[in-house]
Amino acid sequence: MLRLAVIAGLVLLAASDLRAQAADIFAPNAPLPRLELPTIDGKRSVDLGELTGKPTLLIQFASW
Amino acid sequence: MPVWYDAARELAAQGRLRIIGITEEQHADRCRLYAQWKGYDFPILWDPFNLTGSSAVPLVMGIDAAGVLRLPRMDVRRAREELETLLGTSWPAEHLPRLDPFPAVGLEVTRDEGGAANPRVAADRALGRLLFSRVRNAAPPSRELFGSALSALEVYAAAEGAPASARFRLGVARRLRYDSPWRDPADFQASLDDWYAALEREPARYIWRRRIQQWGPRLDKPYPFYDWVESALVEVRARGEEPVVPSVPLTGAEVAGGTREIPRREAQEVHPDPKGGLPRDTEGLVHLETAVALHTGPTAGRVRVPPGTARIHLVLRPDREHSVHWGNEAGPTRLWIEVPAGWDVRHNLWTFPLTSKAPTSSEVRRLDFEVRPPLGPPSGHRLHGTLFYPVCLGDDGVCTLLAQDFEIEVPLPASPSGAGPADEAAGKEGAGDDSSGG
Repeated sequence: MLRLAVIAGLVLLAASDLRAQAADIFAPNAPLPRLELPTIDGKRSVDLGELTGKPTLLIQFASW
Repeated sequence: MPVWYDAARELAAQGRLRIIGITEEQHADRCRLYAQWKGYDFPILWDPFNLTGSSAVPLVMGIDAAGVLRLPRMDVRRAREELETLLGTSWPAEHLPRLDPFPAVGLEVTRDEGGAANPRVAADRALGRLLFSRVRNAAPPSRELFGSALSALEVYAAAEGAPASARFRLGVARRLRYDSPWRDPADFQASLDDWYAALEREPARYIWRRRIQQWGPRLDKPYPFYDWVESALVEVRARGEEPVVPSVPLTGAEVAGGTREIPRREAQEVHPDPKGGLPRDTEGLVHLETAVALHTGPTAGRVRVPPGTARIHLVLRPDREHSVHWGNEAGPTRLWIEVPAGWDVRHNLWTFPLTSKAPTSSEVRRLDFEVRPPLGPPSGHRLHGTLFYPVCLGDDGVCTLLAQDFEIEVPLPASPSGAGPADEAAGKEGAGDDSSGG
């Protein structure tokens, strides 16, 4: 039990470090966070945590 | 982005891949025009508050069918191979636990930490209300919504221990209000101040830095931000489509490219009213708004240009209650600006761009230009200006040439490294370029 807890702790620590390298809320090998954002036309929204069912290419960008 | 779209569109058409974009821009409709111009048909999400926490763009990630992030930094040089890896790999069922941000803004899921009495919870709820106003109410934020949201964001940003992101997001909300019918004339400057204060605390946040640079001096621009807009409008119309027209007019700073040149006075210019004899606009017929967008170099301790190098923004609004119009037949609106000794400014005499060919008009007029203090201790930091404008009262009213005097105080931020401008080698002034963002 103790061993499992230590492994879980190490896993969380690793995830936290990787998160800091990429972006604050995106952790490699973890599900996307529950973050809902509106579309640019303001007509609907998407929850990143619900992007399942097929692979997703997620592109963060700016038009500039 | 175009490379990724070219590589992924066929897979998406086959139903094998979903493409989602997230834009980190202040103005969603500019990105809508960009997507229309490029023919992007996938959903693009709007993250003006930088809720994802990403420090730079572009950032491309591959997510497996279970919703697990598998490829956190996909390489555009190997776009097709990266996509093959994402689709062709049998990803293990095991994964790390989800690390959700709390509260999940928009979902209105919050920890039980005192509810709205907790400044952080109240601020996050305020962000959600602003961000989702169009989705949930089919309307932009109201005056009341802006008022209550900004109050909550101000309280949190000023709270002890609040992160720098709280100040950045407050600035975003202020700029949103500035671009709305509920504008406070001070919102533009306040948003720039918020972003600068946030960036001073976390200089590696390039998305925050870009928000200032969008309106900042050319000496600080890594690239032009919206120089593509005019071409996009023309090309979309040429295709027979109605383009998405940006609701907020572009300023000169937003279409200008970077430069390493020092702005120099080009010629000796003549003051339009050297004796100050013209009548002054004592009734407030034209409202002047000013904002100073500072060079962001000092936030990172890279003082390659003197602190205080800035882009000055002037906005003129004819008073609606007095039915004030520009008297266009009597000439343009002009500015005479005087800078302290040793400062650089390209002109003393500026002419506002004329956007109407009608004899009278009442549009908002904008002008922005750059100033640069001398290396070494500056001789002052106040700019003295006089505006000259022919205005008419009412549709058939009398037109007259008026003047308005004003002052602008340019802040001179200290360098965190302690290195003052005098310590910098002359001639090293650069664009403050950095390659990690954008």
